[in-house]
Amino acid sequence: MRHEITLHVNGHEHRLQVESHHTLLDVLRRQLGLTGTKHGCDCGECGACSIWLNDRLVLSCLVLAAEADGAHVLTVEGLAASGEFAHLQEAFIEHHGMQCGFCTAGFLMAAAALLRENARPDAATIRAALAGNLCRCTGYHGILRAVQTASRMRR
Amino acid sequence: MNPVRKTQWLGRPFPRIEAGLKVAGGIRYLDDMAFGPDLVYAAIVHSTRPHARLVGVNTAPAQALEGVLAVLTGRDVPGRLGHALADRPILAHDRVRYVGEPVAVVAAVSPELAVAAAQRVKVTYEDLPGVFDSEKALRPDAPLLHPQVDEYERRAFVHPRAGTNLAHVCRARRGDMEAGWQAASTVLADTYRGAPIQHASMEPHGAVAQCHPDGTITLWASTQAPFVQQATIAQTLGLDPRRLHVRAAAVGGGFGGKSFVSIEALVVLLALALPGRPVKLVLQRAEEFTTTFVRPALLAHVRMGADRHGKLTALEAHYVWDAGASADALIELAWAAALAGTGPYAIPHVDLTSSVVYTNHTPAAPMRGNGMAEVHWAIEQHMDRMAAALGMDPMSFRLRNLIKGGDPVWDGQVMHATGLEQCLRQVAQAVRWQAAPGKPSSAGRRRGRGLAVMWSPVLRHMAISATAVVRLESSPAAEAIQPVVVEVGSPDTGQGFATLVVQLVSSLLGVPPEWVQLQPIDTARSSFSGPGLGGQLTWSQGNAIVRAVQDLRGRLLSAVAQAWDEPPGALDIVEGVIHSHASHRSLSLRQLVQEGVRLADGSVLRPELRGEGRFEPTAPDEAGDEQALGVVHFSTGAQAVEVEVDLETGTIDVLHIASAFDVGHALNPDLVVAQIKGGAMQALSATLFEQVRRADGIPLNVRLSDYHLATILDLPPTIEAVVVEVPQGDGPFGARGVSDHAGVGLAPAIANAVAQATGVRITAMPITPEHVWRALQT
Ligand code: FES
Ligand code: FES
Repeated sequence: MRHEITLHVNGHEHRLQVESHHTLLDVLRRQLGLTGTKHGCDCGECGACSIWLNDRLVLSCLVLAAEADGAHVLTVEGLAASGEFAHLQEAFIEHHGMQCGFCTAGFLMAAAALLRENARPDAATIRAALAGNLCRCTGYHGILRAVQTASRMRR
Repeated sequence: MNPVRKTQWLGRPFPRIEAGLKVAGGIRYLDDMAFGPDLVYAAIVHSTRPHARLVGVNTAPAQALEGVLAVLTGRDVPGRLGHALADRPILAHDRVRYVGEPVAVVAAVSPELAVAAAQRVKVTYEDLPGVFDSEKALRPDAPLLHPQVDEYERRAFVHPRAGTNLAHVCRARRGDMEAGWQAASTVLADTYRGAPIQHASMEPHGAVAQCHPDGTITLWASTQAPFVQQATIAQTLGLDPRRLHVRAAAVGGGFGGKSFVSIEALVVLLALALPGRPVKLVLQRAEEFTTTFVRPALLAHVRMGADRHGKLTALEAHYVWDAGASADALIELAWAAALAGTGPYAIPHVDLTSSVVYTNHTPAAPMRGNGMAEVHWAIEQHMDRMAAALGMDPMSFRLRNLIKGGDPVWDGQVMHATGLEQCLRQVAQAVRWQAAPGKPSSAGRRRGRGLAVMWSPVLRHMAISATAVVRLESSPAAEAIQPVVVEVGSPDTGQGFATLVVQLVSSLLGVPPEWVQLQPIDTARSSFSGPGLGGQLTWSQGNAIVRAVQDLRGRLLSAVAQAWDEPPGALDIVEGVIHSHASHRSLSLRQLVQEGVRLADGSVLRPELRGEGRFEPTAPDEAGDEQALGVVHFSTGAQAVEVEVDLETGTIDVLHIASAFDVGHALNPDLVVAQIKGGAMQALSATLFEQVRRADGIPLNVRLSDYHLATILDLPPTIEAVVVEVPQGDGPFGARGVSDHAGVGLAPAIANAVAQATGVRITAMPITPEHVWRALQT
C-alpha cells in the first residue's frame, strides 16, 4: 500500500510517496539520495543506519517510513551542515576514529546524541552509549578517544 | 635500497586525506552510487543443501512475475571461476556443494521484486552424502566434491590429488628429521584447532555491471583487487579482458574477503543478458556468511623437539585447511603456512606440510594475515608448553630460539635483518613480564600474562607485481595548483593507503600534497596491480610509486638541465618549483607544463610529463621454480596481554594488550599505530567470540546478533602499539607493511595468559567462557 507522508529532513520539508514496507533508511537513501546513512544489516544489529528521529537516536532500518509521517529527521549530512558537532567530527579525524569509514556516520550520530544529553560523559558512559554500533576496522580505541576529546572541547 | 631523502611529509603524522569526507557522510561506497532510472536489481537463489545433485531448476514461476527481466541458471554458464585453481562454478552446474551456493540469479525492476522472484524459483535436489570435517574428508571412503579436480585449469604451483578431496598440498623441508629427534631431550606433540570465522566487513559485498553499445562492460565493485576481478571473470566467461572494465568503489572494509571474485561475476552475466541496463547486487548480511567467504578452519598437528639447553632441534607440522567447496583462494595461504609454519624460530630440522581440503562448507579465503594468525595459534601455544616441559621461562625460551638476521631459512635463503627480538622485549616490558602478576579484582578471579612472537611472509608470485603512473596535467589558468595525477591498481580499503600515496608522491617529487590526485581505479586505465592484501600494498605498490616518481622527476630535470645547460644534479624541485643550486634560476612546474622550457636557441623543449614505475619482487630461494612459491621477506612482531579470568564463570577480561611490529620505516606513524590497534582488536574478537557454527553443513549463526563481534565494551583499558623500525632492504624508504598481520600474535598470547591464570590450556578457538569453564571442571 502507498502512503503519502511529510518528512522534515535536515531542515528541509519533503512530501513523499512511500510503500508500507519501506523503512526510513530506504527512503533516506533511495528517494532522498542521502546515502551518508549506511545499510549494514537491515535488522537493527550493526548501528550503521543510526539517525535522529524527533531528536532521539534511532536505527532507521527499524522504523517504517509511514510511521514517521510528520517527523523531524537528522542524518549525518545534516549534522555536518549544521556545524554544531564540528568539534566531534574533527576529533574523529584527529584520533583516527575511522578507517574504512562505513560505520562512521552511525558512530557520529550516536556520539552526538550522547554529548547533547551529557556534556561530560565518563569513559564507561561513552562505551555504553556506543555499544550498539559495530566497527570492524578501528578497534574502537580511536573512537573512544575522539568522543572523550570532543566532550572536553564542548563549549 | 631507495635513497632516503629527508622530507616534510614522510615519517611523521599526516592526516588521512579522505577523513573530512568520511565524517560528513560524503564518501560513495558501491551502494551509494547512482545509476539512473534504468537500474535493475539482482537477487540470488541459494542452495539450501550442503551437497546434492541438481535435478531441476524451474524458473518459470519467477519469470511469470511482471517486472522480472531475466533468470539465469548454471545451464547458461559453463565455466568455473578461479585465480589459481578454477574450481568454482559461477552458478551451480550439476550439483551443489554448500548451503548458500548460487543456483540461479534473478534480475527485476525493484529489489523487493527480485527477492520475491528468487523465492519462486523451484529447485529440486537429490541429496548426496556430505563432508563436514577436513580430516574425514581425507579418508579413502569420503564422498568426493570435485572428482575431476586434477583436470581443472590451474597454475603450476597448485598440486591437487586426483581421486581425493585434497585440492592442494605443499611441503617445505630442511635438515634431517631423524637427527633432529635424536638431538632432542624433550619432544611434545599436540593438535590445535582454529575456528571458521567471517571477515564481516561492515559494508556487504556489492557490484553493478553494465554492458555498453560498443560491447564493453563496466563492472563497479566493492573490491580489494580490481585486476583479479577483471582477469578471473573475463577468463571464465571467455571474454577479451579488454572488454571488461572494473572500477573500484570506496571499500567499506575487506580484510581478504574482497580479494577474490565472489558475486561479481553474477552481475556481469546479467548485464550481458540485459544489454544497456545497469544491474546491481548488494548482499544481505546473512548472505555474507553463507555465499561469500569465511576464514578457513585449521587443524594443526604439531610435534616439536628441543635439547636440554632449550634449543629447538626439530619441528614437524601438518596444517590442514578446510577450504569449503572451493580451494582457489587458499592456495597462496597454504604456501605461506608451509614456508612460515615454523614461526619465527631458527630450527635446524623441519618438515612442514600444508593441505587444502574440500568440504561441503562455504568457500574459505584468507582473512588478514594469510593464515599466519591460525598457524601461530598453534606454534606459539606449543612454545609455552615446551618451555614448561623444559622448566624454562617462556620468554627466555623464545629468546634462545628466535630467528636472527643471517640465520638460514630455506635452501639458499638467509634471514634478513629484523627487529623481532626488540619487539618481544618491548611487549614483555609493557606488560611487566618479570614482575609478579597483578592482584585480581576479587577473590575467585585470577590474573595471567601471555606473550607470542610472529612472522609473516610476503610470497613471490605474479600477483604482487605492481605498476604505477604519475603524470602532470595541465589545469585551467585560474587554478593555483598543478595537478599531479597518480594511477595505481590497488584501492585503499580503509587502511590509509591513499594517504600514503599522497605522502610519497609529494615528498619525492617535491610538490605540495594538495596537488596530488589519486585516480579512482579503472582497469581500463589504471596500472596493473595484484590483490589488495593490505600489508603488501605499502611495499609493492609503494615501490612502484617511488619508481614512477623518479622516472618523471628524471625526465623533467634532465629537460630543464639541458635547456639551462647545467648538470641535472644541480637541479631540485621544492614546493613545485625547479631550482638550480648552481645558477639560482628557477621555473615552476606549472609553467613547465603550460609553456615548456626555452632552449638557448629560442626553441621550446617539452619534456614528457609522465613517469612509470614497475616493481617485480624476486625471491632468493626460488630460482625460477614454477612449481613452488618462495618468500621475498618476512615481517615480524610480538604481542603480549594481561587477562583476568573468573574461575566461576570462565569469563575472560583482557586488561592490557601490547603490540610491537617491525614496520621497517613508519611512513605515517599515526596510521601504523591505528592499524596495529585495530588489528589487535579484530584478533581479540576472533580469539574470544567468533565462530561460524554449522550443523552438518547448515550454517546456524548468520546474523550479527548470533555471530558475536567485539564491541566498544570489549576494548581493554590499556591497548598500546610500539613501532619498531629496522629498515627493509627492498621496501620504499625501508618500509614494509603491517596492516595485514597486525593481529597475528594475539590469540596465542591470550591463550597463554589464560593458561598462566588458570592452569587450563584451550587448544580450540574461540576461547569462550564455556570452553574455559568446562576445562576448569575436569
Ligand atoms: S542497518 Fe540498521 S542496524 Fe544495521
Ligand atoms: S571504520 Fe570500517 S567499520 Fe568502522
